[in-house]
Amino acid sequence: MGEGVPREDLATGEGAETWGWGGGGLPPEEELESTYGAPVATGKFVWVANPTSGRVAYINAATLEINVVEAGNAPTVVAAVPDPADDVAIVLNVLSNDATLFRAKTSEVSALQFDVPSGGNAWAISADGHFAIAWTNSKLIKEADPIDGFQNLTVIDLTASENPSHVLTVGYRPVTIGFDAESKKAFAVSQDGITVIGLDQPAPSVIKNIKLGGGPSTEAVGQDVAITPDGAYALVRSEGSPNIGVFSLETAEKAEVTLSAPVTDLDLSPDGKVGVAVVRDTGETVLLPIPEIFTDPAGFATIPIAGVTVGSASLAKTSPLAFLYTNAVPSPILTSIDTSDAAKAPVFYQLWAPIQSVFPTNDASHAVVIHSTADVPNSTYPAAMSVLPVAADLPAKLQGLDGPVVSVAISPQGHRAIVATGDEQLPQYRLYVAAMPSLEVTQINLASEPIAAGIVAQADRGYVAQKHPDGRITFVDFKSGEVRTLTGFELGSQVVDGSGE
Amino acid sequence: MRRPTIAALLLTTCIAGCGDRAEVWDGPPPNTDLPIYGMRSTIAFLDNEAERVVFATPETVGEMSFAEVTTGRGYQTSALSSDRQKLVTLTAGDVPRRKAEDQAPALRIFDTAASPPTQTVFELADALSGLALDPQMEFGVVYPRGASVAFVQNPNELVLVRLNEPPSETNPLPATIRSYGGRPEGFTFTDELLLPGGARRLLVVRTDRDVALIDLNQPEKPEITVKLTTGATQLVPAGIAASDGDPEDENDARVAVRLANDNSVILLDLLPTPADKVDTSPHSFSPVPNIVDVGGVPSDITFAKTDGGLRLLALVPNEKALKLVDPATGVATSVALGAPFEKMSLVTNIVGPTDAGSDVALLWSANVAGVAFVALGSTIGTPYKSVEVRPVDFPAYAVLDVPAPNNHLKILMGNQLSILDLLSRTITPFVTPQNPDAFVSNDGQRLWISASGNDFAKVDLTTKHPQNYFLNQNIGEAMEVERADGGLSFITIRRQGALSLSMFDALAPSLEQNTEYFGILYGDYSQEGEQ
Repeated sequence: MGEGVPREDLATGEGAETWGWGGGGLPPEEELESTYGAPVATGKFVWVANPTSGRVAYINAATLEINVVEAGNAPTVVAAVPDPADDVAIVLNVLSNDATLFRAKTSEVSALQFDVPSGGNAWAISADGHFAIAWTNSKLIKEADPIDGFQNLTVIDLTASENPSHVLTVGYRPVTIGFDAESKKAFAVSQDGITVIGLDQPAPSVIKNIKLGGGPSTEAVGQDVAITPDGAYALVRSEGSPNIGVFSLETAEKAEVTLSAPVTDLDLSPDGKVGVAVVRDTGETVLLPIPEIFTDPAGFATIPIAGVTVGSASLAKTSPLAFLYTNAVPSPILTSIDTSDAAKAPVFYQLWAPIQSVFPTNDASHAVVIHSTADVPNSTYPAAMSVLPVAADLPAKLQGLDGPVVSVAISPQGHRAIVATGDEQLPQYRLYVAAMPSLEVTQINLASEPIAAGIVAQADRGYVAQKHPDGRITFVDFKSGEVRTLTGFELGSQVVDGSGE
Repeated sequence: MRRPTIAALLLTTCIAGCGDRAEVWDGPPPNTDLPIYGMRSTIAFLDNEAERVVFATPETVGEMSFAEVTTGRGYQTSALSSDRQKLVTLTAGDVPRRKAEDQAPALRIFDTAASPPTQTVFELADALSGLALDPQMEFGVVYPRGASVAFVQNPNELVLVRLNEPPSETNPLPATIRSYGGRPEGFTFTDELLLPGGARRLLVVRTDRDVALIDLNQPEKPEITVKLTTGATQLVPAGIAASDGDPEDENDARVAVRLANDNSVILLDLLPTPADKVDTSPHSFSPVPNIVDVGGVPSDITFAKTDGGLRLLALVPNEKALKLVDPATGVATSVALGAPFEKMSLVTNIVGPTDAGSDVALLWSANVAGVAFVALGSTIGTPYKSVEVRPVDFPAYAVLDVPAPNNHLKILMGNQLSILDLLSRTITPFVTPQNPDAFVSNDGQRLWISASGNDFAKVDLTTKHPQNYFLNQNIGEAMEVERADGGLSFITIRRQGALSLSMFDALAPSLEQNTEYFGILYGDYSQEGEQ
């Protein structure tokens, strides 16, 4: 729950002298994914691994109490495991090739150990918390040998009392792992296509591999793959291509949807009912009804976006609104469309700096827009943000930022957004807290470089983890505005107060 | 020469145990290297070999009375209360204690507000050698220090004495702090802090690797230990500062720990005990530690008000900087000082706060020929309002306070001596012999200066006028003591023979009208006046 969006969609506009609405010959839309050795939040705890000490610190975000538990050798990657009752997290111990599952009930934490023979550097967790998959994201490995395919992954049945770990082989260099909503299948998107893993079997196993390309090369590089939550279909966009591949993950059959120009972005609505494709060169946004588009590839609706360049889409979790923008050229105009009704006219929002990325609240009543300022004449700010009251149709609040944006998180309730800024090149470390609907933005100085921001919804606090040899995290209480920084997680566990003596 | 007046002669233990004064008279020459305290209205000579304290009390300009009070056997250490009215001694008693009638280890309080001085004895279970007194004189701590007195000793055993309460089954109160390999090395008694669960004072115990917090409201509760060392390097706490924060907020009190061998300061936020520990923790508050890197080993820390809120000030000599740490965020802002200042004191109560209500700090150093005023006016944007350095002819190793009405003055002590006026920010230098000794009178009117030799000087702190006096004997120590007749005596002590002293009228010292006493340790109290 509540992890922030670290640098996701934070791209830099470049290549044009003026902000504009341009057309062909533009660079691709940038979709930057980054993963940090960052903490994760469960219901009320924030979990942080310390590879050096072999321990994991968990911080009660409501009381700021820090505890430390032993993990394996070099616990590194932590993931939250959904659970209806407890706070559960799993950590990958990279040197001992195992994982530790922590389950917190009040202050008591139990630990379970699982083998992870494949090793890895990333987790994928099923929505029901039943399965965890440890895999290797080659993007996180510098100068990886081309022969290293990182094809092994370990599927862990977190509920199994015997033989919970299963090593499987998927395609060459997987780039993402996902599950269907019922945790019956898992999907590994790799350079070989989509490897389908059956989970509703006595032992997890690979069912099939679906090639994505039609030619001799099946490389998934440059491809944007979205899998519907029910695991029935995969939508595939290839950079520079006007075609969208719609694959049945059941039959491996493919339907091809051809649009008017190369598709610059493709996203799925959270319910998986609509695919949103953005065609920048022709100024169109296309709504692909799912599953109908599979049997009727021409049955899509087109929403023309006149006079504004749009190349990327950002969708809200519980609203049919989609926000369109471009970061390929400096453009300060944000557009919204209603994905549930193609007949509705787009709505335009005038902002005052080029848009880099957009983060809507779950209900899309507000959106936090990150701006690039490189092309803003006479601006001394390295970045900026706007808080846009979408539902109220009021002017956006523009806020200059003292450093580049590192991470953005928005509370599930949509009442606060936090933006962490500053890096080694521009060490103005700040946390900006935007209140909605008041649009008040509070600036908090940070003691060191931020790594990732997040929200602990149950505690109604935001947090930003920062670089520090002993671990550092700053919490902001959204109710009181109180700021507390905890530095030295191991030290925090070194308090002995006579409890139970 | 005539016999002095002896106001009280209390030889209780010695008379009972020894029968007469023969041991004093017939023993070897007395050890003159004994503790001597200039108390508010008397001088205390701790004649440990004779197991007694000799109180020499000025009665009139030319007359002094003497009283002897027995102390315990096996003197360990002693200390004076901050108001100089009470003397506290620690004795080991008979070691080993074989018989019931053998003397027990004890802490004694000699209260000189009464005449003759009263004595309260707290017997201790074990012979310990360390003593720390609460500046507010509510508590004393007895602890093992240095070489063991007893055959077997627990180095983490403390004895807490409520100094204002009579001895009882629970006073003294033994307490053993948890040991992770260290032993107590320093004690800090905080002022009252508003903590979760109510206002209370804390005793912060420093070992060589951790700190322990003892709730002085309920010292029978187990202490809270914060282990500072988590890695390979043992972190050594070296200094403590405490802040109550907002007087209305019970969740913002803090304790800061300065480390001797690390660039970090450990901040302990004293927060409510987590809900899931309320039923098991004996405490209503819990320290949440934070590490703040201040860029160098800090030499001094204190909490101060700025217009940006409360800050922890850390002096970092090797960075020639004062670091202002926001305790909420851990953000440390650096104020360049241009010199490696090592010590600081807030002087806001004297010079007044800045326009923004912020504190003003005075900085000095044994390595810098100057002092600095730092007005903590603006920590946002520019991290300070002003740093004003005032050159001094010598580095000051110490700064003496001056009581009201001249509390706007500070005495800078070095190989010379100067008077700093905090209000006008002027410095009055004095030419003195090298490395003078000095002390300020209780009424803040006079500064007494002496050096190894026969000379002393009185400086009127209002006019800064020095008046020099030349004795025909070497001056060992000097002190000013209130007289019974309401006047003030200036007394010099010579550690020769069996100790002798010269008494002058402090307001009008006259070499013609002073009175001398000889053979004090022999109890002869021979007087020779008007030399």
